[in-house]
Amino acid sequence: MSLSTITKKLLASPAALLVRRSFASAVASSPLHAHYPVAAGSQTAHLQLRTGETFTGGSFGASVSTVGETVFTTSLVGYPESMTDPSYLGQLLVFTQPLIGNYGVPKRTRDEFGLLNHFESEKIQCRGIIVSDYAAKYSHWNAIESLSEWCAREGVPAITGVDTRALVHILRGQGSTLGSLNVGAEPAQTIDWADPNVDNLVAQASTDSVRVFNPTGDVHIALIDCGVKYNIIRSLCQQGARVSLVPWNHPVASELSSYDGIFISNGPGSPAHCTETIDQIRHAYSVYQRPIFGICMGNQLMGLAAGMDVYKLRFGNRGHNQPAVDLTNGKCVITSQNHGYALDDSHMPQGWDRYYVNANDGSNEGIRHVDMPFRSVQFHPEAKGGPLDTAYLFKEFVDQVREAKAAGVQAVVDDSVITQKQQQATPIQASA
Amino acid sequence: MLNARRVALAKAAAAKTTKSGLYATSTTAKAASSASLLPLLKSKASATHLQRRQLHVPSISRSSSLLATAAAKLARKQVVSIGRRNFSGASAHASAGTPPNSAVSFASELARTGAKLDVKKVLVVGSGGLSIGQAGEFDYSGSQAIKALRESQIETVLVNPNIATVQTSHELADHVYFSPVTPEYLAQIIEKERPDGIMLAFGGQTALNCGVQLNKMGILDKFNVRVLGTSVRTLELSEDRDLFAKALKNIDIPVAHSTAVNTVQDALDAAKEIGYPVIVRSAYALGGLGSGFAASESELQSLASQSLSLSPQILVEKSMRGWKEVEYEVVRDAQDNCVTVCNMENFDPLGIHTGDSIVVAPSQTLSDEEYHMLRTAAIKIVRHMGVVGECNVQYALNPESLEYCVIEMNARLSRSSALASKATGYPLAFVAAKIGLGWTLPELQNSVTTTTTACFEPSLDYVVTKIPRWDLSKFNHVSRDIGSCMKSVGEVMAIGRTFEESLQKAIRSVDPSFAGFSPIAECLPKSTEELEDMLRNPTDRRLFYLAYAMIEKDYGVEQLHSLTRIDRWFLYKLENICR
Repeated sequence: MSLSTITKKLLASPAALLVRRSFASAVASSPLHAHYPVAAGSQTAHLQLRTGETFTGGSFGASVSTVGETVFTTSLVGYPESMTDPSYLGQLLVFTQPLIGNYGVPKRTRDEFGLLNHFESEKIQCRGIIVSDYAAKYSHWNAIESLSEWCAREGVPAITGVDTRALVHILRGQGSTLGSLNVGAEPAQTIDWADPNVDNLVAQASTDSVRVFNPTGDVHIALIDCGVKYNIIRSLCQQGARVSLVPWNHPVASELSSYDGIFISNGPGSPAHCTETIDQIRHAYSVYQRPIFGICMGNQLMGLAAGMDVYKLRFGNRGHNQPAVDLTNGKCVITSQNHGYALDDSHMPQGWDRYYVNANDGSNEGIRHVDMPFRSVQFHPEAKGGPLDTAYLFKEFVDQVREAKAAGVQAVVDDSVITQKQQQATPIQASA
Repeated sequence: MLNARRVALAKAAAAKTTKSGLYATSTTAKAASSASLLPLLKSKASATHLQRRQLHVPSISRSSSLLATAAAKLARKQVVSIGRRNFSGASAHASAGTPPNSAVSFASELARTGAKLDVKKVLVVGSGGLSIGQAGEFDYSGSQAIKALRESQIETVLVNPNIATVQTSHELADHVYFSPVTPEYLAQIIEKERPDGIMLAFGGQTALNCGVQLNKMGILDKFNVRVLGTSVRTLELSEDRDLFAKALKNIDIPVAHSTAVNTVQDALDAAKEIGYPVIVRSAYALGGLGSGFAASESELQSLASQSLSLSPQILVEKSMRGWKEVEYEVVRDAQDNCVTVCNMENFDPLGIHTGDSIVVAPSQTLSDEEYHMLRTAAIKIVRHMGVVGECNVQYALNPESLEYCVIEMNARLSRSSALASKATGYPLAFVAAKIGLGWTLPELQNSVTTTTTACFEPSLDYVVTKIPRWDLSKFNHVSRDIGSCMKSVGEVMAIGRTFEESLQKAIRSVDPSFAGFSPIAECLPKSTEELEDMLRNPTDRRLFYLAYAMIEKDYGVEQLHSLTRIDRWFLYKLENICR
């Protein structure tokens, strides 16, 4: 053994490391830099958090670098669905489930409504993925390519070999942090920390024109697209409704009489950016008499329109195992969730009640109006991925719409009633 | 002189147990349990028990919904701003200073103080002596149940002749009867003790069968003993495979097409209709006793006659050998709240009893669609059958499509629930016992995490592998083939962040002589035919023949898959270990 190897071994010995570390902490606290032995011939990638921690691992996606909000999901299955969920736009997705890529990437088949069967949108929405142990060889009857091939094809970077448990502990402690994922031999020296939440992500995710699904449906529902997941459209169509997918800032308020029901979808980022949508909903509250339903972002927009506040959760609720209690009957359901913001339901505005509440941390999971058929939930009843326990909410909504239509309930109230209501109602405070 | 010392020791031991609580096992107490001191110990135990009973039990208003009260309490609390969010994960690590969710702790405080149903004394039926197919897992479930009952200040009576179990130690149950678990003895004990309720789900098949018998004999009605948890009707429905198949047909859940027969001739006729190969299952059997595969009439003849000697009814079904075997542990309470706590996938495809298979939790080769399709079906089944407590549902899933089939359901705690509890940290038996007392899942707290409710599905960030342990060398003239009749005597479980790590740890745990996934001296085949035979027909040593084939003979994944029908993903991972 040469002198250099002996010295290297000495320096790498546990005792020496201890001395170095303690020395380092005495002088200056060096930020965490975790390494993972990458096989010779494959590229390294680095995840650097804004707060200084670096995780070096192997790259298995596209060789590009990106910056995003680092969030984690505890879901055990459904990475193709999660990655194509527009709610993850602008985010770097960490999977707590260590083994990812086992069942490859499914076929791009479409159903009778023209929607992709196994994906929630046309492309990967998140900016990058971070996993612990990527399965290079997949095995599934429905798979056509590996996760690595898919990411590379769509230009999304991916890193494996990250100690996701340590990373999640860091994120839980300090909250969702900006992270940079770059592919290369060394971590990036200068990073442009552009916070995606500063932009209106909903505008990026939303459709830019009106699209109609299931044109032969008997009831007409306006689905305000803030970044909709395909299964929401599918769930409504499967109940027999004709769905008009409209952009987030579409003038729905001026066309209220043409819709039998209004549905507000999920979406990425902060709801504060969607002032136009909130205004549309607020107007609808004062004149619309048919059912309105919202999911996730829809819940937050409906709450804001009703006069509630929104706050940012420290690290969000993302997973398939969140229990929510239905306050109308005390039943607890397991739900699929993906949100970073929540409604502050400590003081409910007049006419509104809490609908669901998270059984673990007490955060708001839904609101409903006491008299009018306006309801919304924070979780995802359409699942994909996740549990199907609350899929009945779609049936309930469309049934309500049908009942209202059959009973001859007018979509919009008369002008005389509007002025009466405006005189009686307490002023709703604008909040952003 | 010595006796006096023993008495003093016993007194000290008894005093120690009251202070240190349920988990202390004092060796002095064990040493002092000679016959002359038993009455002394029993009286000591009941004295301390009485002391506990004298504790103040706050009155529970049963009229108002506990959850509504808890929610109202929460509503009055100021919402915390950014930075002090209670986390909602399954980990037990709490960030410093974050109080647990008040709704959960408020409700769970009440769950600790008593029962919702009007029961004061409960009889817990144990499983009896250990045998193949029925082992320590029932000690685990029984102990947990008794602990749960004690916490709710219920007087417990345990019937279990096995002196070598934890549950029969005097610190747990208030009264222990070391008598055989048979309907006759149970009837006598019920007559003497007059319990308000009886729990049948914690003693395996033995307890279940006894419970069904007692109900038929009318003992339970005669002494007004309430069956806590799943009702006897549901237990009968789930155990009688014919009734079970009919019940599932009502809710459109595919179940293996089977014919119930009582004679060998009927079995042969049924098989002619279904088509060979067939599988024969016995009703009311534990550990797949009396089950097996038959590929021809002669095989079926011998198998059917054997099975019918052990059980009055057998089922002849189409064999789905080679399909994936997946199981779910489901918990349901009386208010119809339902959660699936764990799902497990068998490394070995269908054809081997799940107790004899290598099991991985959570499932690794199921996509979201398949996972939730089976999960929804499990919840639907459990709700339809009316299970109150814990239940295990096993499926066969076609590896080439979304087609699936329910194999069986166990409306009781089983060995896989013990595995699921350890793998996820969710105390299944404890929660099932509390549910038996009438509590609902949202009201209960997960006693392991202490900050999440029991109505919560744990999410794992690791993978668990369980490998069964066989002792077939101890038996003479028994074939090493493993099949649908269980032969293992125990199991090991290993946790790892990768499947390779978890599997290696598990193999090393099975026997200290195993170095991991590599060939061993006893498993070196002498010819290719022998090797392929060992791979095609599962034995307790198949894993080592796989290692031999991969490492020494350079067999590829495709070749091994066609021989063993193990999912390619597992074989790729094994290949990783070899490289």
